[in-house]
Amino acid sequence: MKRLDLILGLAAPIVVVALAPAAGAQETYVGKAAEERILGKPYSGPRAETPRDAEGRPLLTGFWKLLHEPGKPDGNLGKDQPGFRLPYTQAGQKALEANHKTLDPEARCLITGIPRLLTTVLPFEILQTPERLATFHQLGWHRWVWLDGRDRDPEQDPRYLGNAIGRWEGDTLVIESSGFHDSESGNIWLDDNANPISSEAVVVERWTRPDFHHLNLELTYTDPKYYSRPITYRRSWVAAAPGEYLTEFSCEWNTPWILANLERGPGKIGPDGNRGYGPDGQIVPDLPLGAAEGNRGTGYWLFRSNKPKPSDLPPGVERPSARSAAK
Amino acid sequence: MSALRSSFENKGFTMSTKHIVLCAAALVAAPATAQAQDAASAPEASVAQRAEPYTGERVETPRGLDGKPDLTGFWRPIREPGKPGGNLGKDEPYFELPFNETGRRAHLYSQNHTVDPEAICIPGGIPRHNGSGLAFEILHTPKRLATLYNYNTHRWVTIDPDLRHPENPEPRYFGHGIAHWEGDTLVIETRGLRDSSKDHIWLDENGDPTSDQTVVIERWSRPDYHQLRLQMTVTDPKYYSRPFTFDRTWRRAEKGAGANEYACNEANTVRNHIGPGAGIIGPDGNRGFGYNAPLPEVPPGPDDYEDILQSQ
Repeated sequence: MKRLDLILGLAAPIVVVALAPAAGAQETYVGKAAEERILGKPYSGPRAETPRDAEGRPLLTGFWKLLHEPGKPDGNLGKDQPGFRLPYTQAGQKALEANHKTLDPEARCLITGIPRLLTTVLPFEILQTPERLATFHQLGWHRWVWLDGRDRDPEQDPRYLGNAIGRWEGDTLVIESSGFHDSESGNIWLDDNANPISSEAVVVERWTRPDFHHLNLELTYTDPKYYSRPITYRRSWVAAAPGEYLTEFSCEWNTPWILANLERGPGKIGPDGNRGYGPDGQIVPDLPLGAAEGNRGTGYWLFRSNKPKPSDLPPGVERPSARSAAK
Repeated sequence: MSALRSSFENKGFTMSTKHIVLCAAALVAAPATAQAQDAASAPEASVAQRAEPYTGERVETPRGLDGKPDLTGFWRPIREPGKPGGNLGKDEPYFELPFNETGRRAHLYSQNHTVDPEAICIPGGIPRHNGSGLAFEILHTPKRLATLYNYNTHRWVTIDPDLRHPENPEPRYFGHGIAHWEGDTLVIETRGLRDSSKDHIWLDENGDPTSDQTVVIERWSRPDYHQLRLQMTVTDPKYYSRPFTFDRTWRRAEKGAGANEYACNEANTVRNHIGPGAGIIGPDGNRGFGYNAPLPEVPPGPDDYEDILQSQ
């Protein structure tokens, strides 16, 4: 509950202090300390070979931390675009405005879709087997990819994560996804910045692991309904330290309280293209992530310490007692 | 409408009324529900499809890069005639777990206060998922294994004989799963689970309690391509008078079948309208509809949930 003390201490200036973790609880990391844990550090050790499966194909299995590009926004698919701005069509512009009036789907624990999961600043894990691969993400979601050479189902269902089919082109894993939900539903964003995604979207991911420690993505996003041309997006991740893995997070506060009280939209997008995590230019959320209690939480932005909070807590969240508040 | 149809097929209708509540609330119109019962024969097979023991020619156990049995696959539970589903006491007298006095009270508390965690899309946890009537999928790599469940949740296991549990683990729904090999058997030990007396967690579908002292030992083996076997021992001195065991077999689903996206959280705003507990547990040890009772011909329509829908 230490974290909640911080949240509720709105009147007091936010001071980053080392909070002694309660027994069995996660420790709290704010600002640079959170950055230190969330972001990957450039690898400078000796080169280690790409691990390969029995067929000789690269294995992408691992826990991957983002190599953040200084000066570039995360959570924005327009990262590599002029002005960090996507080329909206007229319909796209309207859909963007509508998204600014909807709740962040992630903040209310709806499944975060593709490509949004791939634009986040947060680490993710991959498990790859010969016919099946899954990417696992921080708010507890996983995304399935078939690698069994199947054809696309012409009657595929719309999904948050699309319908992903992968194939190998040499040492590159190409994953093509289509059949997405549309932002029209009010339940899905293209990225953290509330850009819209349509049911016509096609996402092509080209993944490579040139050595043990690095994972690269070249993504092409085509969505003629909302964007006037295809968008490309490049990113790299570095292998986390041995023994470091993704852990459980239960995103569970899609409640009437959240629906009634949460601020709509992504907040202000700064000239740096960042939705941002606060006035101090922090580029990652605090840890524990969006936590209301331990590893139970809501979408991460609600509970960041340097953002004004709604004055109440979701039902089911233990309120800090007078005793702990007085500490 | 195909999304709605598929969602219904994926709902796991053998489980209980909770899913009908969720379905109806989430999807409003439910014209395709009758199809759910036919899911077993549908070409895109449902996660609720029944599996019969495999009787064909034996196919060798596939092995991973480390030479160990590869548990990867989409697995359908095989039902035992006369045994309840979703009840970890299926092998106990009267299908009832050996509660101690605290456990009996914790059970009563769950039944009267706790909305089924799965009905509000919270991770079902371990060992509950091992008693589930729904198929699940395993992704197995030499160091990391994940079990992936229908409601879009997953459980992590780290395979490392040198790894030990932390002394004071952070409580989790799936606990902290650490595994090692004993010959061709993968032994997963889970500690650091949440406690039914203060958290939204049940031991099984029937609302039996589990505590922060629970230790779950799962012994998984794949004697051939088609079979996945579990021998599980649950020890929870806080709520039970002795350890108990739970054994089960799954059959490998047909090639090309797999788990898929399931948007559980869309509907969990209705939590205030779902009553607590698992409902009445019949003398057959089953909750709700049970395995064999037919589902209602006509499921409750949107009219039956008007109050819920209006409140959203």
